[in-house]
Amino acid sequence: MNAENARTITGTVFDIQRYSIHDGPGIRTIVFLKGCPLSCKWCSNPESQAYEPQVFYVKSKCIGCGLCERSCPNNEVKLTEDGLLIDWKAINASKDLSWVNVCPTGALGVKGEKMTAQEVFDIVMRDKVFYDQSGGGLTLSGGEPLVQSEFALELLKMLHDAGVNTAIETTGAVDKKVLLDVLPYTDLFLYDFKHWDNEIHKKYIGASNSHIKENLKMLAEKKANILVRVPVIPGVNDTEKFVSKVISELKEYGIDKLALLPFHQYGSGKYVSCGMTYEMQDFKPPAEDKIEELRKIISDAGFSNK
Amino acid sequence: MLKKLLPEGIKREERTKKLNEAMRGVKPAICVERAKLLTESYKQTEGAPNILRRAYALTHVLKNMTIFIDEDELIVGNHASKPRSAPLFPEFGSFDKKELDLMPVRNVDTLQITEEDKKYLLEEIYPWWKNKNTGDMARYYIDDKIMEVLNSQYRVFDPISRTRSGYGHYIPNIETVLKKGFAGLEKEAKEHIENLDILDHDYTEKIHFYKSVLIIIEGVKCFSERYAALARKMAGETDDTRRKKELELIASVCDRVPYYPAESYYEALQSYWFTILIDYISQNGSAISAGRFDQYIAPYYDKDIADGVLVREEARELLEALWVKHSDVIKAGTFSSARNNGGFATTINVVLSGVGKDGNDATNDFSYLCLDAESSVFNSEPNVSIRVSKNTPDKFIERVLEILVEKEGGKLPLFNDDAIIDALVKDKASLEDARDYAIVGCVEPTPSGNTMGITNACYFNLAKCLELALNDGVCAFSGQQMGPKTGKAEDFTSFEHILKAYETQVRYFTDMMVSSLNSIEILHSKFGQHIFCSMLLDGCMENGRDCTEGGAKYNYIGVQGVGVQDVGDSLTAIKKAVFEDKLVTMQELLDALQSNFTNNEILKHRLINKIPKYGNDIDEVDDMVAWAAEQYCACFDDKYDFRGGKFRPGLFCLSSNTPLGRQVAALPSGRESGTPLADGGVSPKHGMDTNGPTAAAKSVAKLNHDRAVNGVNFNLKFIPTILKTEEDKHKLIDLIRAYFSLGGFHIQFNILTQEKLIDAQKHPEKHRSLVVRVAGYSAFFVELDRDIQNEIIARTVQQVS
Repeated sequence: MNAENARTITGTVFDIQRYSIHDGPGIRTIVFLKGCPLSCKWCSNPESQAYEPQVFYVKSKCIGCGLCERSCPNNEVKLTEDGLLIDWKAINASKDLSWVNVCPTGALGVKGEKMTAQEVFDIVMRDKVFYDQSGGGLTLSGGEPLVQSEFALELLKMLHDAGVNTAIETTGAVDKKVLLDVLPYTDLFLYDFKHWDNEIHKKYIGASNSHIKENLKMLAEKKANILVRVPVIPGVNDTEKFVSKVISELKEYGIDKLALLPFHQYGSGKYVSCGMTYEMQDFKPPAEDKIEELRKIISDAGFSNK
Repeated sequence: MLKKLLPEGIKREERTKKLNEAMRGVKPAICVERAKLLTESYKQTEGAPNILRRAYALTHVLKNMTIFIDEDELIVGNHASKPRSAPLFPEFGSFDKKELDLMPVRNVDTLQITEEDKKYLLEEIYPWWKNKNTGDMARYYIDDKIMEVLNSQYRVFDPISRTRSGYGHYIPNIETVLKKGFAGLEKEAKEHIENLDILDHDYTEKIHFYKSVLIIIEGVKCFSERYAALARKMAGETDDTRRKKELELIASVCDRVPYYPAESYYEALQSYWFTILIDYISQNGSAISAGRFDQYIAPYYDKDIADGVLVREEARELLEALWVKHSDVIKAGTFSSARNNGGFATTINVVLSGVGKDGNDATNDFSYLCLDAESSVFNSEPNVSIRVSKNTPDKFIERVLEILVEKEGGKLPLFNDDAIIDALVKDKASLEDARDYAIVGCVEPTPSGNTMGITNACYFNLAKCLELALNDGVCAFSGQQMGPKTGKAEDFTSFEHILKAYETQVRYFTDMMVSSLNSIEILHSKFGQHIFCSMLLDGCMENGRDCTEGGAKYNYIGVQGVGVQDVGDSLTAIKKAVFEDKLVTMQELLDALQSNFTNNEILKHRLINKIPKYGNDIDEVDDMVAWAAEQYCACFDDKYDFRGGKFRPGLFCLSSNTPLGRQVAALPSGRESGTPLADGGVSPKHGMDTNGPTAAAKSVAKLNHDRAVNGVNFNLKFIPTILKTEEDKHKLIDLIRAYFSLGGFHIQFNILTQEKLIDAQKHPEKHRSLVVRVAGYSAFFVELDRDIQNEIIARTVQQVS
């Protein structure tokens, strides 16, 4: 590894989560990188979408001390009886958010921190003993982690060289070259696939899927280890027909691993916390037996779910 | 499959359910019978050597106490005149009227008592024992100056409950009883008497000891014979042919054990139960533990199965009947002691799995059967512990996790064989004895059947020492000079001054604790001889010396440091906030602490949120906690009791972190005055371990568990959803194994939902069976103090997505 690169290449990280057990083999640490080319309406990490660090407000932690109101340079926040009133437009346009740190409880905080590859590597390596025991390792997630391609590549290289299993959770909505660059250092691609129908894809995701399909095909041809993961959204793609379609397409690509991620509402509060609008409150998580049915179709088709 | 030993006519599940419901349905009460019989005997033996008086008294109790056999019981033997009743031990101390009045109405360990019994105790029993019981006599033994400190309302340690508690916290050698029977011990005692030299300067004491042994064995034999006779009588009186056969079986088993060696699986179980039970009847001890139950019972189980006289299902039926019996043993404590330990914690620890004396994995079929019984009965007793070595099969651990998820109640702590065996060897146990260790009480590893453990003699409040170090030795509540004058903190010019002051406070009080506990052990050796247990601790019979006087092979006194996490978090806060980042001056910090942060709420939040906390794998603060742990443990490096036994430091607290917390003012960690200290001895402070379980486990493993050889306690609470799949379970097993590879001694999972606990608090009647471990032992949740319930509810839920 290049020590100079490790110290100079930085990424914008919004969370590092240890003992993650549902994103690749073994016990893993997920490093969440900021920025995403898509904007799926069901996204459970809305704070991942913007590329730059952003303010995040958790009302339940606010003690109403007013320190933030007194410290903000341009009246971006105002203390009311019902917590903070935040001028999101102004605050999101602000370059310097260091004043947010006055908040004593962390109710007002910043999501997204510039970190060097070395810093992140050091944190990930803290759980090496658990990876060695379980066959786990690093999962890069986001946002779309490959948007910060240089940083992602450096981190993957470093961990790969340190004998740690590596995985990327990707939307596939990136340049082909980026995928090719990381391929030698990536033990597993957790490849999100939302919809096969381009019109529906455009409607909910705000982008075409053709590029995503091509990249998937390309990775499969290069014999990458791929687990395709489909977020199951009621009324969008929760049908047997859809799942069967995915299966037949994947078979053509020579991919034999497919998992379902049922839609959930856990992210809804975070939309409020970063001043965004949540549009999915009326969508119910798919019923458990429905998911089981769909999973059965997948396993009957000879697909593995991990 | 048809039964081969027991008569047909009832299914295992049905019997277990009936027995368990009957046991759980009992309203615990006080029983005065033992006190009555004991006092009768003592009145008749005035003038005799105390050891003989103890022997006569126990035998008198065993010959005359009420015995009964309840419906559908297969394993017999009751602790008091009614099920789940607490006998009294007036030779160790009395309860005054206030304590007795409180018992039926207090919110923890509630005990019914009749006005008549109360009157009898206060007018007949306790007046005779005044100044004759160890509790009253303690003042002549504990140093006057120390006594003065202990008389204050605020304390760093409190050994007084030990003066009243008798002997507990050890593992009798059950295997000896199974193999030799008390007949074998009787023969040995007689041979020793034959061989004694009348010119031996210890002759008189030795002859008293062996005579006491013979007196007690006569009582033990009579006790089981009384059950045999009762069972026969009941068999003759019943029209139920199934029950008749069962009672006849019970009679034939009680004819033989525990006096004769056990010859069958059934006899082995019954012999075990009588032995443990009589130990509890003998004196006022708790945590008299079963040791390696699956190792010493397995040969009898294997043989009966191989001989075709027993099938697995009925072996389980007998085992479950025995399992239920453990809840029969409860002790009456003072309100204060009940609050420390809470939930009728008799803590009869039954250990499963681990390596054998040869170092190979010793998990056997019967170990799995014990887990099956545990999953069916699942009461707070017995307290089942799991030894895990590198070679313990995953399958066994999986079964343990499966039970925890199913029951949503934390029990079944896991212990790290490899690290504990190494530590015991370092602590001067032989390799063979170390490999044969078991757990005493909650988390204390000691060799089995040869060790006078007394592993939970006292708790030591480390957080209070820090409070004193910040106040020149003055108690923040009473304003009195409590510890040595170590200087005014506002004058300290460097962080090292604080460390020095803290060390001085800890040294001062640990020395006092050692002295007072030694005094108490001497007191007990003179008035509380424990001959029954001496027969069952290797060394005593050979030496002709009671275990209270140092007859056993190994002797320990366990002393627990509590609040090492609060100390480390607070020291880190001072170091960073005052000396490094200059967030506040020392004076401002002291003022805030004095006002319990009311004058500076914002500072409290900064201290909580902006200063690193133990449990997140952050070296800076973890090292500070490790330093405090090491400093405490090192205080006992050169400390021995009068038996030559070692003072062994531990880092665990059961539920004492709540009452001990009431004694401590606000701390620099941001902890408010009077609130609970961190739980579990080495567990991260609740809500503070935000980096997840691997980080928490790594932090905990940075403490040198070897040094806290008396045991540590790491509680990790999970919501059940993280253990949904087989894969999830495997990952948790990997977490355990990796944590153990780092040297962690112990890990305990509480797998439950907060809603469930809150609901249990509101509707105790609906949740009587909910078992929760409080910092290393288990208890019925609804029987716990409300503060402790709240503390459990508040503990971090490890959210894992």
